[in-house]
Amino acid sequence: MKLPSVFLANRKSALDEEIQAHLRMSIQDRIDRGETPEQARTEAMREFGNVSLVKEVTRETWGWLGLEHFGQDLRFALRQLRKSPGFTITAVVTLALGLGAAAAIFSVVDGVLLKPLQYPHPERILDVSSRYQAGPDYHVIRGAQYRFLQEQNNSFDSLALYDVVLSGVNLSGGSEPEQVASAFVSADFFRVLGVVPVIGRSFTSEEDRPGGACSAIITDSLWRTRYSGDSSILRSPITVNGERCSVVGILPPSFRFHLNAKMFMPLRVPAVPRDLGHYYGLLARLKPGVTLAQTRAELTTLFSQFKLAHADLIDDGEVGLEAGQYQDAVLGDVRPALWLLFATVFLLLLIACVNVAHLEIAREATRTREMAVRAALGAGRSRLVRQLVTESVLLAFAGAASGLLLAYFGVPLLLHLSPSGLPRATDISVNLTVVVFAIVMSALTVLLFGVAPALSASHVDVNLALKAGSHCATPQRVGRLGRDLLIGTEVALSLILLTGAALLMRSFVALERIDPGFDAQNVLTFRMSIPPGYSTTSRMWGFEREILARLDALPGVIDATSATSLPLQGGPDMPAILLGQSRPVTINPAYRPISPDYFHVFGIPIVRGRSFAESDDSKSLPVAIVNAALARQAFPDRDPIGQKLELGAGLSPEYSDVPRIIVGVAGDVRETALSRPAGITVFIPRAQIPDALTLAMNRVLPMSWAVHTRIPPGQLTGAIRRTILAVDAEQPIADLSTMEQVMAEDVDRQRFTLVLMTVFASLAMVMAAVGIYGVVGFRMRQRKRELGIRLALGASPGSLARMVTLQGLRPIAAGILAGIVVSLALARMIRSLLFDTSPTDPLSLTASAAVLGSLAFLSCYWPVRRAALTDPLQTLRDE
Amino acid sequence: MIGRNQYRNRIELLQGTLDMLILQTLQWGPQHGYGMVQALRLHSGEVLQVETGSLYPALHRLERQGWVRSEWKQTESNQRAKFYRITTAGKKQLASDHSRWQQIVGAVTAIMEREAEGDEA
Repeated sequence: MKLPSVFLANRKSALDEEIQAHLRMSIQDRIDRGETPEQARTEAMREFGNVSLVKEVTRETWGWLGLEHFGQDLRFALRQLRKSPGFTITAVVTLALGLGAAAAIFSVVDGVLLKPLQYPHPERILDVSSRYQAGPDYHVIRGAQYRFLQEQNNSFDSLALYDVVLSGVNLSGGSEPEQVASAFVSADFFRVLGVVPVIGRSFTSEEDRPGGACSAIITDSLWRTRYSGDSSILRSPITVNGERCSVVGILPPSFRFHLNAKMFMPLRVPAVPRDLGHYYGLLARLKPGVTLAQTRAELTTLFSQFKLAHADLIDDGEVGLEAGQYQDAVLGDVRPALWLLFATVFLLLLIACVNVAHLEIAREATRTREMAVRAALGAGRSRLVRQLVTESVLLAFAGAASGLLLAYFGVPLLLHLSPSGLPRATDISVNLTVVVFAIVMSALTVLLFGVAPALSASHVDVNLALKAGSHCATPQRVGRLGRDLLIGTEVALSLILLTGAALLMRSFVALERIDPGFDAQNVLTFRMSIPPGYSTTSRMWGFEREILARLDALPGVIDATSATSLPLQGGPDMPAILLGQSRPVTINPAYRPISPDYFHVFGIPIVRGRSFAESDDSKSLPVAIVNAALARQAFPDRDPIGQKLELGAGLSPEYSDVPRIIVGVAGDVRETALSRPAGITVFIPRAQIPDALTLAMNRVLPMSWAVHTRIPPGQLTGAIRRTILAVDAEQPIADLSTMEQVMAEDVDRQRFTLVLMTVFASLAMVMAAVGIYGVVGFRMRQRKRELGIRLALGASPGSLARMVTLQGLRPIAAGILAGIVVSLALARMIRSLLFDTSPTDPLSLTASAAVLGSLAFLSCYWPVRRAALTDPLQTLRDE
Repeated sequence: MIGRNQYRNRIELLQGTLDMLILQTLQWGPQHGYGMVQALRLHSGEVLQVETGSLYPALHRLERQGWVRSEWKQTESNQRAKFYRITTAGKKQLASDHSRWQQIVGAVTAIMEREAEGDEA
């Protein structure tokens, strides 16, 4: 930039000199012709015309002028902005809030939804699962189908099976025992993802066979934290679940897998799997050039072939195989919430822009005189417009910079707030995309609030504006209609956000009000991964009984229970046949093996019959307790007590159970989530689980514990850890938290959306109020003279205030109406996020409209009142 | 602002013509801006008063296009002034401008005289 400006300076003085020479010669000629020097001077100047204009027009032919003007405009804009700090600060803060919120949420949206997964050709990685006629899509498949696909398919380069639930393993030896989230995966898992360990190798197919050597691949973070980044770990075996195991590979630091496992071990699915359990996820990498449509067609054919060959390995209602992008499967149901937040911040940004537009318009009106003076001095219209746009650009950049700063500090805060289950949370950061986004948004903002007022401001009628003076009758550039439109828009946008927040609030309250069916107070829960050493139910139950006895004996403990899974956690289900019916009825209840004190610990009522007792052990009569929902569904007209059912019907023989007699009916409990009503559930004593099921469940699921305390449960964590280690020094525990925390976590996602939505809606409301206050105040200043005359002529301040307020309320009312209409139209968008609340809930709409309406009224009334109370003499004297 | 637009219009109207007149004036020898205004007025029988707001932009543009070249020299009355001189390219340009001008004049004249004949008839 330096060169042209030096160059320009020389040329500019040359042009000055050229023009001065012209004038001197002209004056000299006139003097020679006999005019007086003064006369000659005046005449020469008159004849020459506007010197600065001639200079400028001439300079425009040089081509460097744009740059020179830009520098001038920039300096001038800075000076102007410094001159009105109130305006500048308000505008920059407004923009910063709007852009900051938008950039922060966009960081999340970009990291979670937009950025492709960090694998080579992520679009070729598919999630393949069984499709059911009805019911939610769990993205799971059976071992048998995996083997079948592996042999028969033509579309895939490789397939990988994995456990969809992390069982966790116990690492011992060396330092303190630790429970580590681990995933069991088939040999080709890393090949499908396209990831190669940085040290060591992937699994071999020998390791992936039943009975193969124990081997593990660990993440970079586990390697660094537990093994201090020492690569000799590949040569010295580690202890996993009490078994010696060799680490064969260490993954790159950038490696991510949606289950957040720190350790991977071979799944060892048999070559011919016969079990019906469908708890595997299947990933497949497409061969280059094969499309998703071709794959789906092939899967349809393969499914019919599979059905013909293995009818016994297909469920009722299982209708095919589903294939979709792995990324889509990972994201699951967070999409609607994130898009909603994104739409919210976008609206917020729009409101911010409208507000800045208000500010600009008000300022432009007071600057009309300045514009007129500059026009009179020879500034061209395009130059004036450019000047105004420069100011806007400067504001937008200041806003974008502060907004990015806000986002930079806001994103960690967001992550802190974000629900524990947010997928890809580790991929979120303020990155280049976000910077580009902020710049694009600020550029759009400039267009919106800079150019439009600039265009109208430049239509200055010089004579009128100069004559009018600085105080009154500044010609209304952006007409009343335009400003009303802006106010209406702002009110409408705010109302949409407010209604969204109100709906989420209602929905959240409804969620919190739900009776989960159990009492969470003073209950501490934790989990542990059971090593395969506990291979039979009697060994397992012996271990559990020992721990339970010691826990019960702790001071402050009322009682304790062990369970396959706890309320709200979800868990296995199990096909069952109701016996003694006219014809056998098959049901598929949730399956909950528990220790005797379970119902007491959770305060779950036994509505009929009895609870389990210590005496319900492996030698006694096989018993079961069903929940009220199952009793209602299966025995609508009979007493369920004394009825018999057989669990595990249709599973492979080792999982089959003896017929059980129903001894009690328990109250309904929300087993999977607060938002999901209780399904049918069967409880059995843990002492009576078939051996093969104990082994299988221990491999697939971590088991859970709950302790009912007399004192605040948090005080017992140390004692509980010590108790477990006293029974088994190699057995770590994990996920220690109170049941109240578990409940809070269950509504994490809803709370996250609600908190953000409320913050944004409040910001929107404040912005709207500030905007209305500013515009009405500006209009009052404009009408000061008129109001003063009315007052002087005897109008009462009250009636005057009423009149002006009513005028001001018109666009607000229109905005509220428009907001209601748009909110109703957008209701569909938010439906999937609401629980037990209609998206067109009249209460939410009315309340939002009332709150916003009152706020708008106040921001409108206040400046009007002030104007009406001004002494008319004072006003008129000011003119 | 009004003035500026007037200049613009005039420059547009006279664009080709003013360039041609300047180049023609320089045919008679190097000249400065003031001198050109005087010369054009004198030789047009006091009819053409070239605006400085048209003249200087035109001169600077012609220089940019390489049709004239400028240098600072002393005038006869010992004033320092910027003198413009026509280049070879400028002479070519003038020739082509001139022939085009004659074409236009011929064409316009033909139309106008035909009108006149029509009026008589």
